Amino acid sequence: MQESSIQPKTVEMQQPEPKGKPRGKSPLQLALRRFFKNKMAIAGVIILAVVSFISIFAPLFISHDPLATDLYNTNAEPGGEHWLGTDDTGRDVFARLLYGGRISLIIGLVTMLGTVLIGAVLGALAGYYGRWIDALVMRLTDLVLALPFLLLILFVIAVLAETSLWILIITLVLVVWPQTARIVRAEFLSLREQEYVLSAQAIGCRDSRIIFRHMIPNAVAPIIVNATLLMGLMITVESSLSFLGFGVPEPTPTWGNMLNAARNVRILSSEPWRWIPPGFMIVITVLAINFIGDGLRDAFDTKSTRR
Amino acid sequence: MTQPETLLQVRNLKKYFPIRGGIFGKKVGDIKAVDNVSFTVNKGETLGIVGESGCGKSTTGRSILRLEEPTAGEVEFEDSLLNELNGEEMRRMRRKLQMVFQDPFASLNPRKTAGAIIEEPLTVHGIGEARERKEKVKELLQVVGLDAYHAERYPHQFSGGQRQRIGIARALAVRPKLVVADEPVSALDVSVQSQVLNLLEDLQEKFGLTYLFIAHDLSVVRHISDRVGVMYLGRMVELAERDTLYDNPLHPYTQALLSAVPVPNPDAERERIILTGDVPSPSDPPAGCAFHTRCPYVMDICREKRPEFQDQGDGHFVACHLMDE
Repeated sequence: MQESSIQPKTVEMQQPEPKGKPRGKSPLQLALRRFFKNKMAIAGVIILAVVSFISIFAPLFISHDPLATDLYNTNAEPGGEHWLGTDDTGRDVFARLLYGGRISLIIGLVTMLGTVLIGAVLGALAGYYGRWIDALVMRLTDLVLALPFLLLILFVIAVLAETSLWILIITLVLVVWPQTARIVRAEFLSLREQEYVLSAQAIGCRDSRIIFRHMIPNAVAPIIVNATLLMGLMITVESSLSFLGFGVPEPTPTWGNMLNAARNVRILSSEPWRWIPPGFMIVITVLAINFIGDGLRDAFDTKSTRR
Repeated sequence: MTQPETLLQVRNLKKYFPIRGGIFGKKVGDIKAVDNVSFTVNKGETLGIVGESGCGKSTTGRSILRLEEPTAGEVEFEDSLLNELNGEEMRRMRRKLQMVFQDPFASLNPRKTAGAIIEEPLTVHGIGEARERKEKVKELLQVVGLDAYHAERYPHQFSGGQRQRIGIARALAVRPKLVVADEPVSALDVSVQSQVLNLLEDLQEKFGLTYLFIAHDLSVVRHISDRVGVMYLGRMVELAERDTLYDNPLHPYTQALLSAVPVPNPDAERERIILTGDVPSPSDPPAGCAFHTRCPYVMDICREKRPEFQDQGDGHFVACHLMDE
């Protein structure tokens, strides 16, 4: 048989390329544009940027070592040398506040990344392949979700007999990944029925290409929103755990560890500079992250009429 | 007339969807979406398949391409049995078998540009260098009546008709032999339908394509098809040359279906056959002939024995006991 070649039949009728912006905006670009019109979200971005900046570049702002104790100058009131005073081992509270931000942000960020990675992959596999993979992953999530959260952490700490930042992060990831996995699975179940996924299969894409090039990019909106809100949640969880004494072990400064001091009635009532600043930092950081999360959700949701 | 060369042969194709119930998801029954369907498609022709919604015509198309794994039956394409290929062999075979989808708003990935969408089949089958592929995309866009600069745009910037053209360009990119067009125009405005139909016809001539054209619109199918098959409740009830089928339908269901087509002449005398009752559930199709519950000419044998899908001469296949009289 003869192979006719592809010939454009209307070459001479071709329209000139329109001036201006020929390249279209992708849905992601459109969503980002909506995001940047949201004042609360922008406030969130700015606050988070400032908090991250002063935590990461803490040495630029304070010369005190957050770990250095000064037993001759404990429980000092705020003043010239120590802006927010010192704690009961003479450590500078302001330095601990700045350095503590690092730990809180690292916990929030790394836990979020780990959760998204595990949750998205397992959720995607469960949603795409269904059958026994789905059953296995879902029963696993049921199992984890059925375990009391605090008890699990206590158990891990009891078994390992010690905690560190990384053990805490791994434990947190193991506890919260089912949330993300469920969201991604649900998203994949609906995406799998989309004709463009079927069409990707029809043109001969491999499964990996269908999952990573066609489905994950279209499931990215709920993943990002979930991840952001999760990050805020993880910072709160770290604080709660540290407050209870199961968080990152002393003497590492974290906002939660600093709040721990407020368990003492004397400090709670007469030394508010010891616990108000870390509490405030936790609140504004988590608020900022949640604003960003809400902003992203509204930006990705084209159906919402809220502005 | 020379003997037409067979491109695709479907033999006793079945696709049952299991119904699961109870707490352990035990199988409690089957939806018989496609129940023992056989037909052949000749090289270079357009075989139209018509039927009401839910009669299994789309599932037939998808089962042939193994987008739905068939429950039973054989699909022979050229010299290979598609249903026996393994995953990778089938993936490579897809180069020769492409599909145009019904909903132009759902069948294009909203996060990819038109260019990327059309290029993808070339990429996954490893055809050409990156630059050649870009060139080819531009050619394809022009072949389907769009412009080269449209490659940079996203699906949401196109109209339904333009999107369907992109879908057609994507299907043609790998120069397939068979294109399964699943209701390619039913989601479009009537004015755009004819443009897309004409485009499909032009492309068929130009590239020597074979179409399996699935639709519910009888006039659309009449316009484009060489032969037409009629499906009812997962079964093929009649299959014939287009004009034979439209002028001399033999199966009572086809007769009823055709009598429902409006005629643009108010004085024309016509007998409208009104079917009573609803289409039975495909999970529990009637015994014997699936149509016997609504057939005006029903006989005792129809309730007991399923009629054979037999050639009544000249390639006019009918599955009806009336033919044995």
